[in-house]
Amino acid sequence: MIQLQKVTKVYGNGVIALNNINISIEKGEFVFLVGASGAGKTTFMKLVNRRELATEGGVFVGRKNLSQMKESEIPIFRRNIGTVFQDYKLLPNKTVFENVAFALEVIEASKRDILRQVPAVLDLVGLKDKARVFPLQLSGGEQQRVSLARAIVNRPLVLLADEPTGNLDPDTSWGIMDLLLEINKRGTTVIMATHNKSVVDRMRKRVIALDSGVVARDEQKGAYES
Amino acid sequence: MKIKTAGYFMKEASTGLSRNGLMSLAAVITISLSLIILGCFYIVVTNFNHFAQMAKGVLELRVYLDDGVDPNPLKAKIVELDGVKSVRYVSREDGAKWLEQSLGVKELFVTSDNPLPDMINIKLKDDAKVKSLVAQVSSLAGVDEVEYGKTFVEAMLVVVRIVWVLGFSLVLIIGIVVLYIITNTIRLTVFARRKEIEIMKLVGATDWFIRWPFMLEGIILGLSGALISAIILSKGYHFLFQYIHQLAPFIPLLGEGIINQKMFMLISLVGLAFGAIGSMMSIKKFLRV
Repeated sequence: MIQLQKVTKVYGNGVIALNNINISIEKGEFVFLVGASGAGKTTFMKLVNRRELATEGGVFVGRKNLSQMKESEIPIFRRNIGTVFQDYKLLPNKTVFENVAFALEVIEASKRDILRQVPAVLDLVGLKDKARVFPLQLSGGEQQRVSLARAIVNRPLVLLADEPTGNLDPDTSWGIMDLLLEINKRGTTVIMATHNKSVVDRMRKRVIALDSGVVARDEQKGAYES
Repeated sequence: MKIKTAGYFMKEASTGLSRNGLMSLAAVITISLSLIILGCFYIVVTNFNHFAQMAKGVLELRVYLDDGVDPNPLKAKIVELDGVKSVRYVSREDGAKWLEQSLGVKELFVTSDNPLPDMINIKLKDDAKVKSLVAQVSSLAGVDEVEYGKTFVEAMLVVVRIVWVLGFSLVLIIGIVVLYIITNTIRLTVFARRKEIEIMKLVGATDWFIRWPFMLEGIILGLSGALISAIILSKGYHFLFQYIHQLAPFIPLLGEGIINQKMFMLISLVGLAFGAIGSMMSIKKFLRV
């Protein structure tokens, strides 16, 4: 599903974010990306949704070689990749419903699809009753749920979650993790970058540890630390 | 593009305009002023061009021939030249008759020999290159001298050229100013919505889908400026036309209809193009997500 073959990423300022890494992730997997800040987790995410291009090596998602992808193909490709951030990136002047619907509107989905899919996904994340509320009236956990709903409303093949529990207290974090597991069960490949030790240790999923741009450890049913 | 999508673009564009209401108004006023300067330049240039063309239209080259030259082969050669509308041969006898008529004297050259040379009159086309034509005709065998209203036409051509150069520089400067204003106004909207743009990019909106509302905003600014300046310019030209017509009716100003139509097209096109280009420029950086 996702393959990084001998991938090196060097930024314009000379920083080597990833150094000759090989990673292969199968369809339907749940993967934790761990490592200190600056280890290369975010760069990994950015390579997978084609926000950045590898300096060397090949990044493949599905059967697509992202290095050879034309600019005009990127939008269509990204419709298969959902993204969740630590800071939620919600639009404060739109309601919960509008925030989620926005992801469908901008890819010119029909009104019928929007009216069918948005309530369904809000139901899944447990925010059906808050559809008309604005993001700033919600708690952090609820805002992250909205962000999750927006990421999966288009039924992506892959969900990238960059520290989704980074701003949340432990209880709320577990709520988000349950949701991610649920999304994963429905067939979406989930890649989550995190510093949350307790979550990683308790879930016992595949763990890829990055250290200074190289893969330090890649374990099935792994823990935060070796 | 779906109708729903077009509606979305219009809604977003008008939101952008009203959100930066004051800045948008300032932009429209500045664009109007810039386009008024452009329009004034257009009026001056087209009128000068018109004078020059009219001057050329009534202009004749008088080609004096050497004594005893057969005019027919020369006529044939001259009529082939670029820029020549028609030629007419005037023999020395015809010349004398014309002179007698215009002076009101009979038998002017009875006591002396007729000193007039044979002559060929050349009528020029509007786009004739006078100088090179004179050089070409002068070099023909059998031609003694070529005469024409040199100073007036040359002065006119120089004026037209100067006005062109000045005008072109002016248009360039105005272009940059208009572009700068539009780019900065749209950039405010783009900046206010940079988070939205980032999300749009991440969920797979195409660049054109993201660009359109901003393009529309720029085009609306540009065209509004064009409309205001067109109204002011046409009123202004009307006033000028009446004034000059009364003061100096012999000055052949171009009609209001011709001026208004072409000027409106010109400044609308400039407004539209700069509006679109300006907004493209301001959003470019934010599309790199």
